[in-house]
Amino acid sequence: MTTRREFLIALTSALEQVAEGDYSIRLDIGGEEEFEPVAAAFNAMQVRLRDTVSSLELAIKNLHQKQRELVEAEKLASLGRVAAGVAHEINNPLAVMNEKAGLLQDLLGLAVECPGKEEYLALVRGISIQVRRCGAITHTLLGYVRRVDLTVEPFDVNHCVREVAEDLEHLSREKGVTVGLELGVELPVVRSDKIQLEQVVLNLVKNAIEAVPPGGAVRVATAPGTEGTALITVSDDGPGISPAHLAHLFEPFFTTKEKGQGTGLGLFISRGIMKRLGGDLQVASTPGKGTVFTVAVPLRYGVLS
Amino acid sequence: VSGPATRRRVVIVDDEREFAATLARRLELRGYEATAFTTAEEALAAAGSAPPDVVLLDLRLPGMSGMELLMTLRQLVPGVRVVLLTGHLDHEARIEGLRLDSFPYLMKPVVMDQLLAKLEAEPPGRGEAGDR
Repeated sequence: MTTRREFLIALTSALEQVAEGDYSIRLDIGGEEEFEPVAAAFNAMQVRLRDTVSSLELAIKNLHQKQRELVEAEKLASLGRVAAGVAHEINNPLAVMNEKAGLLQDLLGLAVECPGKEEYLALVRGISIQVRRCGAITHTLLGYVRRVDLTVEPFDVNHCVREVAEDLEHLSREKGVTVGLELGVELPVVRSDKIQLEQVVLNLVKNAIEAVPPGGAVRVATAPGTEGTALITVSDDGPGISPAHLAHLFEPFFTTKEKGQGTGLGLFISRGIMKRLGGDLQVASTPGKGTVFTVAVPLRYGVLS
Repeated sequence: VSGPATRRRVVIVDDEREFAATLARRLELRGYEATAFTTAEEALAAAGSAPPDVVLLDLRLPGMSGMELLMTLRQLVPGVRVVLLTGHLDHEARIEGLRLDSFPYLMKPVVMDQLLAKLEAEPPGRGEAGDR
């Protein structure tokens, strides 16, 4: 039998625990008739509190997630603008250097009596090659500006993939790499920026062709994804990417290609584009087996799922 | 060797004087009559007395813009071929608020073989937008 004093002690202790944020404690209803309504009301309050607190916690968590995504997208956009501004300022002196080196090469070529001419010509050609290398970087960065402005239109993702495969046919044939398409039937029409998505896919397929040895295989597949998305996967049976490299894969200027072969901006910009389109670009790789890039495109740009 | 009468007259308009002057010199070495200007106004004044066959034009110019020069030149010298010089076409287009990809253009730094191909291409007919 519970005395009034015992019940009040139990109630006080329970309330203290509620104050501490513990909503799991329940009072025993099967006691004295006098205490039953109080215990039942307390228990009902606990259930309600627990539900409210957990839905608030979830809302805050989602809010933080969205905020992080927004900050990330804004960071990428402003980084892009700064990078493009710098690239533009560097591109003009680069163009001057290119003409000066070119004129030097022209004049050396015309010179009749010039001891050491071949060596000078080789040196000046070397300068031109390095200028072109810088030009590849400035052009890629300048291209980022355009990617800030979107053109949204309805299109077929499979059509997009087929066009990319056609564009890269010469490259794959030259290297002896097969590019197989596994296009999903009944893919919904996507409303997004087609040209930018194509650039992402082109970049991924090109990377895959370059990553596999001759005789290797690249596979591009499309399928409906979850939460109103379409998925494009680009997989290869190449050497894969080591976990150490994988961690830095989407960082700007990270490249494992030989010096002068890659700007290290392709994947960085590709992921930037996908974030901008409200989608995502992920990678999974097993060293020795191959790599899979997964592009998630929201079916409707600007409509939150 | 082609005589002066058949030399094609190329005008370069770019506010980067070193770029324009050096490129003009290189084109001279290749048999063109090339003149460099750093403003649209200078180029326009000269075009009246010596109409160019081809104009290599940077859109970003101080004073009169490259786009204004392009429009005026086309009226002044019908059939003139205009090739845009640009760091990045989309970048310039964004600034000009125009779609410029209907004009022939070259990205800077310029690759000489590509430039020569543009110079030798057939000029577009009057009123046409030109090739790419």
